[in-house]
Amino acid sequence: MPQTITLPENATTKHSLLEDAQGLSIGVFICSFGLYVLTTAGLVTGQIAGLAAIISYLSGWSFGAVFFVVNLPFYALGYRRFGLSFTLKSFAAVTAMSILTDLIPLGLGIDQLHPGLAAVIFGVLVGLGVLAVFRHGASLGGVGVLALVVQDRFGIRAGYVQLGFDAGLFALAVWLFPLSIVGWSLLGAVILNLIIAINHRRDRYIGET
Amino acid sequence: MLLSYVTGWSFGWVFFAVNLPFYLLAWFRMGAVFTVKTAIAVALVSVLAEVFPQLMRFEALDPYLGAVLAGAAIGLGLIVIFRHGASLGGIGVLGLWMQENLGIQAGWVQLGFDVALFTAAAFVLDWQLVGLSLIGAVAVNLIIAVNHRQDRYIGR
Repeated sequence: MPQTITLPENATTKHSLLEDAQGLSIGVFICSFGLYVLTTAGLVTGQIAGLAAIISYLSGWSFGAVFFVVNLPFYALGYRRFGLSFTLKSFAAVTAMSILTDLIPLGLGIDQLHPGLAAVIFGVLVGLGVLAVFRHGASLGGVGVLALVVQDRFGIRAGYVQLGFDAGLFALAVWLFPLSIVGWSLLGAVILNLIIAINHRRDRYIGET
Repeated sequence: MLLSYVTGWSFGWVFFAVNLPFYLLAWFRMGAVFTVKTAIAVALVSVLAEVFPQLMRFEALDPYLGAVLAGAAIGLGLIVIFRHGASLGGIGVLGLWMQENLGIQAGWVQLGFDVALFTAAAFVLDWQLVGLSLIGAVAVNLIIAVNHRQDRYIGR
């Protein structure tokens, strides 16, 4: 992690192992619920999660399993750029989220859900969850790694990088799904990425491990 | 919520009314901006709590999952609200004031109040449901106590 962080005086940004564990657990748990709401409404999103959702809808395989597999190639990039700790934490976070998104439906059934509300719930929950995961030195998927590389190298905010990848996925979704689904999905993705772009800034609190 | 169960009045309105006295503390100790932002946040929660059930319905909800889910979501939500110079009223105002002036963390203040409240609730409601609610409250306030610290990023 780069050392050029400007923070209020006396700010402690170093996280202990236990603090990272709780931060990652909460982030992953909240993201899992957000993705369950998203897939229940049949919406899509960007990033690896969006790719996994589309593959899951088309193939009938569970979202968790697809999400786990699609993420595998990206750990090499994460290891080269961010080191072992980041890669192990990201692997743990992705694995936990894959399992949780498949487990949550066992304890929570939704029988009525407006797609607009689903989009907003998804965007807000996953936005907050991903912030927690980023601030505790991990990522929830390949595009997040890619976005963090670009943010640290070129100073382009991670949120905007992810927005670019999302645009590609949504072009694909327009071909595959009804326009109303794509429209609501877009709302969710915009909320998610705005939350990250506005709140995860190098000159604010980003956390250190 | 306890008053809402006992009286049968809707949660949104009871929540709004119970908060009113705490605005005095907010106004005189935390300032006008904090108080106005808090009032807006409380009003929005009241409205949204009424709107949500019309757009979303659960057919089955495991109570343990419900407690943990509510705890995590509310814990994160409250940290966001605290960091942007507001609260959802009530004990949160007291907790934030104590954190900023006495050095006692808001999370622990709220947890103390909740434990007392749930002890009372256990006499009125099914103690098993109260126990589950306690799990949610512990989750909320642990998240706040661990993550909303005066020596970390608190926003201004």
